[in-house]
Amino acid sequence: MKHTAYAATMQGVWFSHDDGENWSRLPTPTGGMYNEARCWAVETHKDRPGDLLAGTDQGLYRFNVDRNRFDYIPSPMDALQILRIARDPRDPDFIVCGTRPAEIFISQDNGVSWERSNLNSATECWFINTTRITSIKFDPRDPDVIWATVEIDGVFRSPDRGKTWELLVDGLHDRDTHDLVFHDGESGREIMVSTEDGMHRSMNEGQSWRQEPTDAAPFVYFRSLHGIGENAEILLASVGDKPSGETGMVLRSTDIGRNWQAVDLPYPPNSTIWNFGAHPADPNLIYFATIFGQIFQSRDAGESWTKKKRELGEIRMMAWEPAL
Amino acid sequence: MNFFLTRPHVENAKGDVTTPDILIDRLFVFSGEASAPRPLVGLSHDIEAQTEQAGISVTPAILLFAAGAGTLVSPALSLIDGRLLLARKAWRMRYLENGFSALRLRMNDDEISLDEIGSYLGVVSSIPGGRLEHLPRGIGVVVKAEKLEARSVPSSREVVELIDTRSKGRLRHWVDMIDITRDSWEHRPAPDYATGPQNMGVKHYV
Repeated sequence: MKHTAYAATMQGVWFSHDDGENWSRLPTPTGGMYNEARCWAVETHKDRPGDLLAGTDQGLYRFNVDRNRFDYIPSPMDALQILRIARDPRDPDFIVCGTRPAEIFISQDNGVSWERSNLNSATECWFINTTRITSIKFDPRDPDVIWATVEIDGVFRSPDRGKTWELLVDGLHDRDTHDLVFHDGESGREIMVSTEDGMHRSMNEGQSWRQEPTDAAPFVYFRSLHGIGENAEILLASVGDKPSGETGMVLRSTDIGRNWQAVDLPYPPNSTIWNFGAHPADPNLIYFATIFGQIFQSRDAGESWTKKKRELGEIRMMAWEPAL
Repeated sequence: MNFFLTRPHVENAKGDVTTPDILIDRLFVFSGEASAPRPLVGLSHDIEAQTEQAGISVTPAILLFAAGAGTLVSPALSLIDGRLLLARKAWRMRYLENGFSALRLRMNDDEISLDEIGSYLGVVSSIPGGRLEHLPRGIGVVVKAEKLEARSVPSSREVVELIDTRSKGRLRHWVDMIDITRDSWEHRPAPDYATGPQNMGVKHYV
């Protein structure tokens, strides 16, 4: 599928229009966003082709396709670091942003007005001192339910579109949580959360968690999770030796994470794999990036990967969408 | 801090946007014929302003500030307590035909031509070292549309628009007024310290 790929980097947002081979930024002097802004998040929406949102250390931005530039979106987050962005799959005007320190800001009108949600995450934490949002997910079964992971505090669940939140950490071996994936099967719902200390599973909507062995990996630092298919029939997990790390690997599971296989990669990752980039238009087409800039692509749902020649310094997130 | 870092998004007639970061370290308020210095405290890019329940007087304004390729102009909201909430959007004066005469400020359905407040030459010449082409480096000048002063109360949104009548362009800036006496959160539990693996002790960190 002809597509546009995006990379959120510590030097702004990079675009690729040729299958990830070549990458470029918008014109440095006139692109609407400082090209060396630290960008952590790029987010597309299936119902708004080309409407890319980007979270930076200088505010929230929206790509303006017609003018080939970014438009600044005024928000209360300018002084924070916008690390994650999610939009309601049913309503792209409903935007949820996660920041460092760990706060959630919600706009119900496509970014015109914002409310700071009462997440009430920890105000300090072990090791990294300041908490931060590492993922935001709309519940695939009920998008009025929003989930978030916080590093370092735990898994948060909001049953009411972000008005209230509940911290779910019972059984977590480590509250340094990174990402979530959901599977609704005949035996009920299963939720997986990646942490600094391995994978955890919940069979009761996050009320309790159980750490699970992942013998396929010599490391326990699990970062990004990605479920392929509408019900996450195939799972991908990224693992690294540590943050930022010196190596990483991809694990793949076809049985909801009960068994994992290490995926052969054509080139050794130079650091922890930080993020998978996918789009529902083609579940088989997936990108991942190592935090230190390598880009890999799969066209067969993560079974095999090719490494792109171009590297981009420090990458925090990948995304793609069908070309306009 | 004796300077303010402004981060405008400056749009030109072709729709290109440049993003200079500029330090303002002297602020003046223009009052018809002269400009008086004013402390930088209160100058911000905030889009929310806490106020008492009784509200506060607000006035639409512009800020002219020195930039290397020509003076920039941004819409702003001036509060009577000294706060000046500045948009992160700007135009470059050299690209505005006839300068002030083409510009209008709008708030709450009321509009005023900047010509009614003063001339561009009058503003820049009121500043020591100011010339028509540019303001001296680091200088910002507030020009308020006093005739549009209004009372703003909590929960309202004040929208200030800078309008270029020639190009029909608009720079829109808004500020949401927040009730300082009301806690938006129903409860404020004690701040928590999150621990790491296996909830290990953290005394050695703090």
